[in-house]
Amino acid sequence: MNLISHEFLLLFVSLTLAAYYWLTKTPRQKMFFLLAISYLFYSLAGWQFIPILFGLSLATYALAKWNKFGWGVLLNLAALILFKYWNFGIENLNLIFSLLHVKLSILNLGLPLGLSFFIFKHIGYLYDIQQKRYSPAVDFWTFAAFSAYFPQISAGPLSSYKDTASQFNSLPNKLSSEQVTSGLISISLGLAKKILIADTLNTMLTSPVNTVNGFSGLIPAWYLVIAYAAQLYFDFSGYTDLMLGISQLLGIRLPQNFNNPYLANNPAEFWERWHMSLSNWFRIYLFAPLSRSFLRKWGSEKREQAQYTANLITMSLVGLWHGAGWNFILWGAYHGILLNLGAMWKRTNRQIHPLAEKSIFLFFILIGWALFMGQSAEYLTHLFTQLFGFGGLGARDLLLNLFKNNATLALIFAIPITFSGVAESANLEKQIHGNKFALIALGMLAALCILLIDDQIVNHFIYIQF
Amino acid sequence: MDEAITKLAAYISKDILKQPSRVIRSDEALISSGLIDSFSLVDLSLFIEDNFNVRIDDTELNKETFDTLEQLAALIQSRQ
Repeated sequence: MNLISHEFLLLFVSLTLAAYYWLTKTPRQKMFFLLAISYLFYSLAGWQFIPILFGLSLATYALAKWNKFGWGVLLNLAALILFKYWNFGIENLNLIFSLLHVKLSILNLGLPLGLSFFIFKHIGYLYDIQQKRYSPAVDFWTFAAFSAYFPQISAGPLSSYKDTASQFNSLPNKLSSEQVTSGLISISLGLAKKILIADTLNTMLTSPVNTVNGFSGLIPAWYLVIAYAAQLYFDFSGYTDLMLGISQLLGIRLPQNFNNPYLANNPAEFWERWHMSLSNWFRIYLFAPLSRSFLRKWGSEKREQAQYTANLITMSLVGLWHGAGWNFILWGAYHGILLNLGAMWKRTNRQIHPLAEKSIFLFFILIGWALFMGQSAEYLTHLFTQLFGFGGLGARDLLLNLFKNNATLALIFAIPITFSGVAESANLEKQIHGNKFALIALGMLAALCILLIDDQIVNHFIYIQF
Repeated sequence: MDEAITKLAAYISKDILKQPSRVIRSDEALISSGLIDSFSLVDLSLFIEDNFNVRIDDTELNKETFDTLEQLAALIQSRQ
């Protein structure tokens, strides 16, 4: 189901909320209702994948109960590899085997919605139970509701079983006016970010201009990379705001995923502000155990070597998590190198002006997004050639075309919003708390966004494909 | 507790930050200020494990659990 549609926003969400508060009374009933509605949501995205979600949830629950944690992790990883990475591996093997005139066939399995998200929730659960961080799920249905919870299944935010399922025991019959206002602010902001900014930028980024033959010159190249950086942020943080708001109206708080990432001063800080739930997952379940084992094995004298290796491995896998493509792996490894350079710089104890530090880092982040947006090797080569000025400044007609485009207007709004700090729902809520005029204006903005939705056009949230 | 703070401060300044002359106040923010990063937190947790026989879980290596030497020393003391 398209999340930016009248069908989802006006029908699915409204009916879910109405039935949730009218038909169910106890937390247990509410939990079962959420489980049923989550599976209904999932079936609308592709009923054929229901057995995958149900089967993996059941297997994870049972294997954790039987203390077979390793098997649980292996099973989940096998499903992830089969559905998400198998064809990528086959395509690369075919490149090698083409010399021997051998061709392996690819699988047409499709990609289950939110696979990498619910599998990461399962692996986190198995590891937490093995480490005795909390007690295993009381029953399968509670675990299944956690695994399939519809406001987070499409693209997160990731959360632990302990943090989310513990709220199932105290699901409210009624929300306070503050909770409702907070949920509605988050939903309104999410819609505005997605519909007014991200989707407007998308019209330019998916147009023929953003192709090898569509642009040349330094200015158009940087324009496209900056537009892409803004689109990714407004699209993904818009999705998160929308889902956090819906979840809040159901009485469940999900973790924040963004904290003004483009205001970060260095690579380490960026990852504490961008897709926080994913970086937190990698930090707890991969980076920390890996660093611990390297430090034990190599000794603290080789701590720099341990840190650089752990950073590179973790970030390359963060890249691979985003998609089966070399550009994603390259982007992840690039961020690993950035983290290492940041750590090296810190060890020199040198200081530069904070604004200079921020600007230099922003430049490196944009170069990273250029890698991320690479559609093909040919496109990447062209983009980087233009970004570094080997194609002149840009033709006058192209510059005029870009300037007159609606995407430019969206960027003019997006840039100050990004750097003002009010782009995050938590910050905005504090700013407009109790201000009736601001709340009315935000409500009108949300209504306008809903009116602007054209159900014939499908603009999925970008991170849903990951 | 003062002894623990002195020992932790010495390890952070000498071994982690490589600035032996750097004085770390007991109420100085370590994590939220960016003074020590994620890797150094793991390093510090191993030092605590070896020297105080106290385990700090990877999920606790964040500013919500402790942000200053005072808070860290109190956490260690509560687990000894």
